[in-house]
Amino acid sequence: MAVKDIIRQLAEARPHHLGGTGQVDRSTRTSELNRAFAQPRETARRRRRGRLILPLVAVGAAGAAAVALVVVPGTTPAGTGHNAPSPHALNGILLAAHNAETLPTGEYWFADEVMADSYVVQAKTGDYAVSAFGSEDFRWTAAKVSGGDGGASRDLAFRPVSAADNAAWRRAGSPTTLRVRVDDHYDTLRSTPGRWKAWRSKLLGGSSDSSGGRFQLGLTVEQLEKLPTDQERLAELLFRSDKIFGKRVPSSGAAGTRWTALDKLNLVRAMLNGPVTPRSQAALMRVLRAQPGIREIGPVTDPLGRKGVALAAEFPAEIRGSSEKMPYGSRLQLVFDLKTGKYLGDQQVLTRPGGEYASLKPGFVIRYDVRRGSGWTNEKPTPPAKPPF
Amino acid sequence: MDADKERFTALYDAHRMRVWAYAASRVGGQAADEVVSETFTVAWRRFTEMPSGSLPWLLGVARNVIRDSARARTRRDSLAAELRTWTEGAESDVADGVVDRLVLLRALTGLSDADREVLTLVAWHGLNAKEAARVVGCTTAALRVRLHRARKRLTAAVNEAPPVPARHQNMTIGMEWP
Repeated sequence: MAVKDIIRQLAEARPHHLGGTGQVDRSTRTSELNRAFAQPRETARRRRRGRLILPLVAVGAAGAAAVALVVVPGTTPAGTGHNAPSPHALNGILLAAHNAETLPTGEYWFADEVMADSYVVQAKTGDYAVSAFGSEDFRWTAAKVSGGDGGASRDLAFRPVSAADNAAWRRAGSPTTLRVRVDDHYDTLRSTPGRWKAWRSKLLGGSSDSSGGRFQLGLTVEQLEKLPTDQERLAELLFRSDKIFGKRVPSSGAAGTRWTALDKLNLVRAMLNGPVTPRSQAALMRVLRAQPGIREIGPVTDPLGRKGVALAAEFPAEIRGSSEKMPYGSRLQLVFDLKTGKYLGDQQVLTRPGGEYASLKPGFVIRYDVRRGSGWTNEKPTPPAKPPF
Repeated sequence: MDADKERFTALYDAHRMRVWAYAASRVGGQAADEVVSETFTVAWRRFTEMPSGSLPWLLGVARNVIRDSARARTRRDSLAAELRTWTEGAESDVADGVVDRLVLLRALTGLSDADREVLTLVAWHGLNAKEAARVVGCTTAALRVRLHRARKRLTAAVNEAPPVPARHQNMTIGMEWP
């Protein structure tokens, strides 16, 4: 191909779906506009106050009302919600959540997350599943605005998923590197972890380096402490589409927005992604458990071997925004520590084998994102030296 | 609805799918939805300072959203899956006489992220050098240099491309001994 033509040829080779044409579906439009309008417009000066915290939830329009929490100046916590006794393990956790209304604070909040996806390695001596393309993601945020935020990431070693996978890996000669092909890309998976690579965030599009003071979904410590703990109030705050904290949001077809169980689970997951008081966490859990389509599963074990109970919702049978059927069934689980009730993280678990997971059994963890540690500290947080595995 | 909200809604309707296309070409379709949602949230907050030619500005916001998202950075699978989809789609087009398409897309996926970014901004998202420079946050002159080099590397990659092997079937990984 001639150099002068390559841009034109590339333009012609553009995948159809990247044409930037077509129409967004109505409910997505509604939730995206509502989410935007729930934020106040900022002047350049105000914008310097905090960095954007982006809760990238895995699926769907979970963000609809979520970030609206940012604008809420303050609500008074109401009385505690009613909760019928149930024999489930979760109740123990909910009871154990003491009534702390303030967050323990320090100069910095930090969290260390471990995430990976599972793949099947095809070997002549027998296939085996590995947890691969894993990473450990450490991040910290100063409690005060302008205090900064940042973090570090490192690649994790690949590892056979189960004891049986480990045996199959050994039969294959215990390879310490796997040269893998993911379609047209070649990549090398290693059995040794990579090094930490530190990063600092900067203000979106701005020249100021101020950041910090805002946590999950852009909330401040004060706002996090004022989350309602009454079940009904909290549910209304989280999942109603036409009103947020009692304030009407613009009527761009708001009534059309529907929250699926998975959307709700994802929204609460984003809420649990930063500091919350034990009391707020218990309230969030109660709200979730009361939603249709969300149920308690337990006991479960997370990828770090911790015992817990989970709140779970099924992934839809069709790929969102298309009529394409998912070749396998799976569910999203939010896992809570069986003893302490602490939020441990989320995992996507196979429920109906098919497609690339046809050879696997229900219960297989397709991907996970779990928290290895988190908390407040007065020292500048540093990532742990030792990898989790 | 007040006048600003009406203007913003019109802007959203005009550009939403193009912002999505940009995000999808950077992080894959699944993460693109969230990037788009966050982009318009930021855009509304900063609506007062939005310039009139707003698409490059919106894409610049989307670019920052992607850059600042730890999760997007650390999740490579969605884009890998997306690249597979593109090349699968391309393969089916070979019969339509677009013979070089798969070779071209494969060459594109082999380039650095920076090269791929400037090439797709111009070739796929229809921006001129000045607009692309605004998205990337560099001078127009610097962008022209980057584009020139990226074109050369893409051309070289196309000419070096091996014959297209049989399509890899699914998410399982074929293993080769090191």
